[in-house]
Amino acid sequence: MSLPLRVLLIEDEEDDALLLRRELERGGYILHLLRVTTAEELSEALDTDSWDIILADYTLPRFDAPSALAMVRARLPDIPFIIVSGTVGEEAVVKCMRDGANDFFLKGRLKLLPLAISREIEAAQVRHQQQSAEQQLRETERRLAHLFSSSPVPYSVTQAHDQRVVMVNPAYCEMTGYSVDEIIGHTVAELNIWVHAHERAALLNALAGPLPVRNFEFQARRKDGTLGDILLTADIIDFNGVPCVLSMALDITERKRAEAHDQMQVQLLNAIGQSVVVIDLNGIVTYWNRAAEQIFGWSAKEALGRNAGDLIVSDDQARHGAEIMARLVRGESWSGEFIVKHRNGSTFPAYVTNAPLTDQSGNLIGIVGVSADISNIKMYEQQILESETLHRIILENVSDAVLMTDDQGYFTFISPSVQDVLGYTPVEIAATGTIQNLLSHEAVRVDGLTEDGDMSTLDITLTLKDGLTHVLIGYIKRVTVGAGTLLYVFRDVTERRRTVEALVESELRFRMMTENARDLYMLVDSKGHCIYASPAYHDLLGYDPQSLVGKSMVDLLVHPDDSLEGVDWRNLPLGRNRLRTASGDWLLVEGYTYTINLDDGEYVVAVARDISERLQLEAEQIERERLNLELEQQKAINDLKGRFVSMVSHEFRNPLAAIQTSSDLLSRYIDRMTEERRAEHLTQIGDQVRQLVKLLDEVLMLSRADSVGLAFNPILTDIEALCQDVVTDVERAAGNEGRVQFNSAGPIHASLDVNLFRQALGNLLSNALKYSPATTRVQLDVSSENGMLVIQVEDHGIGIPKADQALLFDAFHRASNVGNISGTGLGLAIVKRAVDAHGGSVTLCSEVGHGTTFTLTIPLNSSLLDP
Amino acid sequence: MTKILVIDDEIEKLVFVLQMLEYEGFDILKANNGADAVALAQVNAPEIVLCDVMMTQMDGVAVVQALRSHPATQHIPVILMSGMGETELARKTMTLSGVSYLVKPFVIGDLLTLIRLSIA
Repeated sequence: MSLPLRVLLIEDEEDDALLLRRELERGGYILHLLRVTTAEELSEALDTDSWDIILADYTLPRFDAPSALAMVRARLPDIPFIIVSGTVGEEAVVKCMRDGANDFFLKGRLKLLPLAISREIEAAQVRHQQQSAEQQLRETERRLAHLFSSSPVPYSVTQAHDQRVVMVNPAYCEMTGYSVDEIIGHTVAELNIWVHAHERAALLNALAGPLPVRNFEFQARRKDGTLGDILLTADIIDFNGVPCVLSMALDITERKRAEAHDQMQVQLLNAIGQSVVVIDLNGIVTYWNRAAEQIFGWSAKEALGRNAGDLIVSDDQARHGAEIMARLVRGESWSGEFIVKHRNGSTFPAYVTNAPLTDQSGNLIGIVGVSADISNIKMYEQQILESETLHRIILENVSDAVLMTDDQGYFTFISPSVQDVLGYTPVEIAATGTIQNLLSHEAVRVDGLTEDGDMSTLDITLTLKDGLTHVLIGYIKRVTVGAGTLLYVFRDVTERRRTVEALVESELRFRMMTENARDLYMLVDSKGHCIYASPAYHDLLGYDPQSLVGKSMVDLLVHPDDSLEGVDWRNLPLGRNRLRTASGDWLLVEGYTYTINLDDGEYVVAVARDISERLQLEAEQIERERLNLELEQQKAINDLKGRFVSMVSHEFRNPLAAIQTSSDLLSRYIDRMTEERRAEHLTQIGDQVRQLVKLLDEVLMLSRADSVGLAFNPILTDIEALCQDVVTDVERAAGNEGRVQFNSAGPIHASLDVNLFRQALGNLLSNALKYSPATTRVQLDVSSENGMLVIQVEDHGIGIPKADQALLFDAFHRASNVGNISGTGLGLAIVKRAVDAHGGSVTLCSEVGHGTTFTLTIPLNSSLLDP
Repeated sequence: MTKILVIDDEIEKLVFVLQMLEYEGFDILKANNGADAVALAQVNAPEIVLCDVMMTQMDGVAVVQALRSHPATQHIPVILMSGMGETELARKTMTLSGVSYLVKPFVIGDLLTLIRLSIA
């Protein structure tokens, strides 16, 4: 869309104005935007141009939104006024909304502003249309009132039960010679208008009948005492719930007088506005006055000598005309309404009076007809009747209080409905004397009401009979009815105002809460249709919240796989769900629903939160932990490397240095050496090389165990013999012959890998010898129980600290109390892997300073193991 | 004959060093603790002292300080032998004059070179 929009912007910040302009242009508006910053500029802008909408910042250096609002509302009550502000307190916003602001927006949250503007402009147009409809109604009323007051036909309204006059028009006053004040409240009899009592009785009698009274002729007395002939049409109407007589009087004095005149004076009738036509007994026109020329369109010259029936009697009245003619021929008079026709063929009602003409001797010589075009009068009559009906209906049905006063404020009319609205009875109101006493002087502003139909509105707060403060709205209208000149209509809108305010306030709070939250809020009716969606639906899911209203939320938003069948969707516990975005993607949210009971039934509130950010944080946390773990592992590997380097530098250097030394001594001094010493050095070199090879084998074995697994070849073996063999080897290597005390429970045969077993037992025994004083014994116990080979190696040495025990089987780990005792840190690692290969286990029991016992438990038939 | 005082509380482990000194024709004095060694040095005035750093009663640094405190022994060059990782003691010896340092295990060729440099 590209809509022209005339925006008056009250804003001091150039940048904010630019942002706002961009947001509105993005919303599809072509802007005519004027920015003002002071009251003077605003005033000038309002005077010189017309605007679609006013947007106002809340606080400006020399101005503020509430003042601007007051200025605007005083001149343009209906123009949309939206506050667009950075920071503004909730109370201030509520107050502005009460004072007539249409909406408010926070700067930086302007995405929905174009929507709000189009909504407000639409609403303003609707208001405008309503007002013009009301205006038209008032205009119609005013015209009717005008017709009433300006009608040349006198009419009056008289209460049926006491004949008191309640309403007359100026024509009536003119006819009777009395002023309105002299007439209203009095009976016709009191005014001495009736001349003949029997005529009055006849009229009252006629009025008591079922039919309206038509063309009742009687003689009346004017104020000045002169008499006149009146032709009366009267109906019983309901006026303010009181049966009244509406009378239309036609002063026919002149006409009567004319009837009585000599035919020779007929020409005088040319001066009056009624047609006078004389025909002979054959119906041929013999006289045609000027008014007849005007009314019927035929000139006298054309009409004379022609048949009057052909000229002026409308076709469908021919028979009626003949009947009248017959009566006239019999010497009777006739008067009444008769439809006549114009030369151009149109027909219209005329009031016709026909009378026979006789010559001096009393012979019938012709007929005179006097006709008045009463089409206008008929119309007035109809309108007046309609107007009265309208008044009656309004007064019967509205609950508004209706009062009338004269220009001084004295009551001239008080509707019974005042009691419903104001609490006071009409009598109590009347007792206050004037409208100024009842209301307040400020409320009664009638200075501007100079002409009939002028109107001003009222909006007042008043403490009424019930002691409570009420808000009344209404209008004051200048209408002259009898003595009354000002009409007051009030309506009590206290409840409505209060409800509206409460609604506006609670809505505002709710909006303040939901519209500033990043969470998704939705109010859903019991059928699952959206009633309200918070702006987060726009920010997170891309919907226009307004567009969701009325739609089924389950169908629209919930993922097909997150079936809600068999689940109480009204009370979902906190959980994760996918919501469809406007673009068809899925957003993972965490949310829940709960029901609330309002006056008109059960509603469901759905709250949800975008958790993609949190999930990302969680994922990052997991990644961080993984990296930490990796780092730990890397550190462990580095530690291992460090320990390996340290071990190598110790355990390889010593034998290498020993070899170097022996070979140095041999090469330097071999000629001076004894045979014995040479052999000693050669043995030394050989031993050290074996030591190095053993070390390398162990490292390689561990490496292989950790990468491809150990070679495992179990064979049935005599354990006792094998153990004895290992003991001998170890003792010899350590130079500690006889320290190991070997106890065997008897001959045991087990299926195991001899090489691995030798290494495991050998390492345990050599450790036991190495880490215990040479004076103590080491005990080896071999037994079998429950299909397991159990081997225990016990020493009385330095022991292993608790802290080291857990790590003892790790490669290169050595206990903290080893001191200068050399070692590779590989022995126990190899024991563990060798035992593992057999499906066995190794445990230890140790106390620092007292000694250590290692226990190997190995299945007797390890060959059954799956390698 | 050059007199050399060898000090170590586990002097039997120096068997190959002693062999080398013997073959090189040194007049070898042996002590297995610091106190004996200091007394021996005052009486016999060795041209050089070879001393282990890590000893249970009186460590190598203390031995050097004791030697330096007597006029008769204060100028005798000392070679300290230290195991790997005994760096704290090694650092202390840096401040002492006339002291050389050798990290075990060493090859005897290196020791011989150091002795010759010290007494030159």
